[in-house]
Amino acid sequence: MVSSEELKARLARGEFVERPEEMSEEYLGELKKMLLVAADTEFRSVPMLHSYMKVGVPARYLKPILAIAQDEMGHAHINYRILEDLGEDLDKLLFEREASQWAYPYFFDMPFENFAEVAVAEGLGEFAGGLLVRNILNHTSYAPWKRALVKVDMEENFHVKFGQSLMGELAATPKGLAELQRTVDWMFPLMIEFFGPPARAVDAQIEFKLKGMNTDDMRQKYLAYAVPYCESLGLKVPAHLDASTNLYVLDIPFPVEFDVANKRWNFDKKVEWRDVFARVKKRGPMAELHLSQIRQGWKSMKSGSLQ
Amino acid sequence: MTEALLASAYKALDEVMDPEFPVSVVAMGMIRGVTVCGGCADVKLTFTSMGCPWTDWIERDIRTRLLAVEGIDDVRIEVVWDKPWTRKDVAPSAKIVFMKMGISP
Repeated sequence: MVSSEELKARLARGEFVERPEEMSEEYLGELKKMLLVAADTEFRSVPMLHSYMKVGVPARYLKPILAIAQDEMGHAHINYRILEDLGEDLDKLLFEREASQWAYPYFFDMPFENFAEVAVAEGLGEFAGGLLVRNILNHTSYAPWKRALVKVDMEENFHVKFGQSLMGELAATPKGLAELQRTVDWMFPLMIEFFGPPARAVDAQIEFKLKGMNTDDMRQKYLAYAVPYCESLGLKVPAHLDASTNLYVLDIPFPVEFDVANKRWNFDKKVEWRDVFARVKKRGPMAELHLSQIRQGWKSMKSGSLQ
Repeated sequence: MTEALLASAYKALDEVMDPEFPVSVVAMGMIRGVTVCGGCADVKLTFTSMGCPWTDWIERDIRTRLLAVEGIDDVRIEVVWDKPWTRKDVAPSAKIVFMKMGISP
């Protein structure tokens, strides 16, 4: 291990980190935090994808959804494998953590009830996930991770295209467009929220060149994609481009209270980020079921009953 | 069938990308033959596996792109499996793309 100052001097010269001996304690800690969010986000999307099978998605899309689930599992494997190389116990991470200890977008925990929700989760949600990947791929100083993410990024791009084709198909009819609008109304603010609170003045992960963009940059990138895309389909989203600053501005109070049971936002009840963190930590309606599915699969495999 | 129209059809197919990788269906070795007769393009197409989840997607993209070629107003696609696709069917240019992505071509 080296000191953070020594490491930062190396990174300032454009050098990469290849081995744990080249890291500082602080760098290793931040790297592990980021790896866990990336790995959890990939892995916990799989039970959500599995839940799509029961909500009336046209049969021709079921095989592609299974293929996406396989891709996400592969991406999760890459990230968890790096964590394992850095000394983490994978069995504990995957099968012994409580629901509140996982880090992934809140909408994965929501019950999916129709095709429109699947389409928006893929068309808008995959882009948010892809931004997370590119923020690391394009900027990270940890070389093994950068190399591994080239393929991941390519596949995530395709998932977005797939989701867009589902949204496009629905938007072609007034009924489908109305279903999409109902979904965007509750899901879009969750995705904006996913990038986290306003950026801090000092971000250790940026200082260590583990990532390039802060939370504000990510949110702007996301809005710059999602707002014009939704509007091109005829969907209304609560954000607009401010011509004077060339930045997107939200047209809703933010953060704001989410009525989980009814999938709607109480726009008259502005909340603090600590309230958002409390909701996310408590996890959503499907979290325990999804976690039990993961644990059940593990137990079956260990007992030899899963072939 | 004019040579020029056939060349246009192949050029168009070379713009139809594999859904997952930045490689065309031609470079992937998935096009097993093309004829154009009386404005109709007949394409013999194979997939990289019988379980390929993107078959509908690829066929739709091929149809859409060929119908944009002047002189082609109908497209028939026959999916063929003999001989089966292998990695040897991938064009050398595409192998370089795969290697850059960390995938063994």
